[in-house]
Amino acid sequence: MAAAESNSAADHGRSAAPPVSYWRGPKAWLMHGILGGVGFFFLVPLIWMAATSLKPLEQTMEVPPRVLPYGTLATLQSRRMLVNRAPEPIGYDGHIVRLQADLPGAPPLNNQRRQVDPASFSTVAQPMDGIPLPVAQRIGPQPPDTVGFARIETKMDGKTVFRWLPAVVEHAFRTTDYSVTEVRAAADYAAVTDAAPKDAGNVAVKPLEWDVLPKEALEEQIRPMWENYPASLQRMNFWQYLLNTVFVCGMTVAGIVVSSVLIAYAFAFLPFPGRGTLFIVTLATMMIPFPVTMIVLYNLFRDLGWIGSFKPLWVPAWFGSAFFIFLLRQFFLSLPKELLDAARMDGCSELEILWHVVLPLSKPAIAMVALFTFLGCWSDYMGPLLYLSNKDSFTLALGLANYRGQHGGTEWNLLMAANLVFSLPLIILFLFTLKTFIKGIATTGMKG
Amino acid sequence: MSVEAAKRRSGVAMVLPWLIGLGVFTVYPFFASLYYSFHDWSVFSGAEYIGLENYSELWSDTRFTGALKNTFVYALVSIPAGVVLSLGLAFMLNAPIRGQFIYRAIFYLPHLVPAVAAGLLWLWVFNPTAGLLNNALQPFYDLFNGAMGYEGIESAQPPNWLGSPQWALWALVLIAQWGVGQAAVIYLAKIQDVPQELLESAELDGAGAWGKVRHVILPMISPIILFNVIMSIIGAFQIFTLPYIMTGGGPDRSTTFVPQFIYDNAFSYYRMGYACAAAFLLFLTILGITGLAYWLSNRWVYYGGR
Repeated sequence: MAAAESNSAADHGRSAAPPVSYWRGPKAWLMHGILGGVGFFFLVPLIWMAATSLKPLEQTMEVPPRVLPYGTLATLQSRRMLVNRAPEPIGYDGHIVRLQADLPGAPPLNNQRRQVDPASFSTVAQPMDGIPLPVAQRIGPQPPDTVGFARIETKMDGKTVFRWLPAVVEHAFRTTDYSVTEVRAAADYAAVTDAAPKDAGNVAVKPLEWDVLPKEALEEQIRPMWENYPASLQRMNFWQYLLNTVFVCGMTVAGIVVSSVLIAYAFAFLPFPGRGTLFIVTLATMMIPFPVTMIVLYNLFRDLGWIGSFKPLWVPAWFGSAFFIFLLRQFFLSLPKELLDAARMDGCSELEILWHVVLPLSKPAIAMVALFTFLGCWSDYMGPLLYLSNKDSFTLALGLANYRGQHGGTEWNLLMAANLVFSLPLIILFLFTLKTFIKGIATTGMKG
Repeated sequence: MSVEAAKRRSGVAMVLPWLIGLGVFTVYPFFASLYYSFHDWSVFSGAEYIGLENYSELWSDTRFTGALKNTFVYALVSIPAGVVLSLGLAFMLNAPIRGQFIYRAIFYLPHLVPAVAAGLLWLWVFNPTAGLLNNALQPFYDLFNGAMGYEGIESAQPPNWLGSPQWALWALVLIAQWGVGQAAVIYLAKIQDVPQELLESAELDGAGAWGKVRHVILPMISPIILFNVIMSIIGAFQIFTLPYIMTGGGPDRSTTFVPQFIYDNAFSYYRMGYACAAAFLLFLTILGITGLAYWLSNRWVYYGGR
């Protein structure tokens, strides 16, 4: 900060601020308290995002939520392993369901690891409105206290659905014509499955194998679910999108920097005819909102055959940007003119002056331009939304936005993991360039 | 060739890309858009001249007036709130305590989160059952319900933010305040630029901390405040990504803003002429409000510092 202050003092002939003495005591603690408290509130969403990304799915929808991620361990098939619990519907309490069978000789309910496949394991709980369910099913009478799965009607998120839930046989009897098994939805049992199914990927493709265990047999411990990250990136086609984004951003930053420097130099130092008017027009165009031009631009690109390619995203960058031209011009004007005149008298061409005199002095400002351009390009959503049609050519922003609607319910943990990975490069870049950042904001007054 | 002539030639050469870019990517689309706003134009059919029909239809189109209203409400609430919050934050970040570097970084951080990521994140935070906000509010609601004796159906519950037309817009206003750190850092730089002697002479005149702020610092930084307000206005009227990601404009079009209206009409309904007319009205609105802000600013912006 001291450097910035003495710059302005030299430029404007005012006295710089004297070195400050830090507050001490209660005044300082109060300010720390306020800044720390409010700052914590600002960070909480980000912390929450990280916490969610490390949780197993069923834990994300817990009410009330726990901050730290927990993993559940259990012994399945005599192996101690990490398990996923089937989420339990809100208001899941034991209620008696009557399962009626006309045909004996069905696969029995038992404790063994089995596939829950509705087609071969149909049981009737209560008929759904207007849709008769098959009465025939293959469960014979079971001894009381047998634990297994029954298809039971329940309420989830306010809707009535059928779910396979752990159930305990209460009572069973048989007559000559039919057998009846009454089961109780077992709230003290949980349905678990191996947390790392063999084919990670689309769960709906192959039914997972579930088992039923008493809840006491489950052990919870704090365990961040790092596996969410590879799973999420793989589902989201992350690496392809990253490549696309890096390409577009690289071309855009290069274009903006090169063109804006050249053009701002001309505006600052070269009195070409119409310079004043052109500059005012440049400023005026900053007021034109993108929606005004985007429709015609879209059609222009369509006529050029560029829709679907990356070109509409980075080609215009090579022709300059009003905002950065303006800022660089202001910055160039603050450089000492004598240096340029001296170089000109030495016979340098304008480009040589630019390269040897102006550029070395302008590093912070140009770094700012590059940084902010990169920031904008990485985050850009509307551009890719308009111009990219092929899923493989999406940028990260577009890919992430699209990822959401794909699987039935939203998997918040995976989504937050993808979110974090998407945002992290910008934050890391910011931390590395912090000093340049602050200096740049002070010297150029950029809003960015 | 004289030095001046050489300079002129180089100047023209160097500024040529901008001339092309400006012409092709900005000026031409701007005027073409205006031209097409008087036509019935879609990608498939040609353009058919219909005069002011698009504009008169916009005037009576409740979707457009609704979007306009939403945009105005959003801008009129979040911009002043943002200015107040970011100025307050700037002053606090100016306090001479250790570790300001860290605080400034913390408050600037939300601005770096891309709009798409922020949208999805806040979607999760505002989740009515499992989200952070409602679960944080729940104890207060429980206290209230307990005190009033409400139970079950009668009990007050935290709102379903993004699912209810009354609350969704306010959720967006709230989210907008998350980014005040960015303006605060800019104000901070300018506050620190205020010459010491002005502050000292104010102190000699008997001004306390608040007096110094009110009579010295605020006037001296008023140009940057104005700049920020104008940029915020332009930004608020162009907001698209965050609401589009979070709610898609719903529920009940309560978070549909003008840019999305334009986008939907152009690329979903293929009424491009209509969309161009709306876009031009947007431009005029921004122009008008900016002009208004600028005109009003003459009363309170002090340029003596330059």
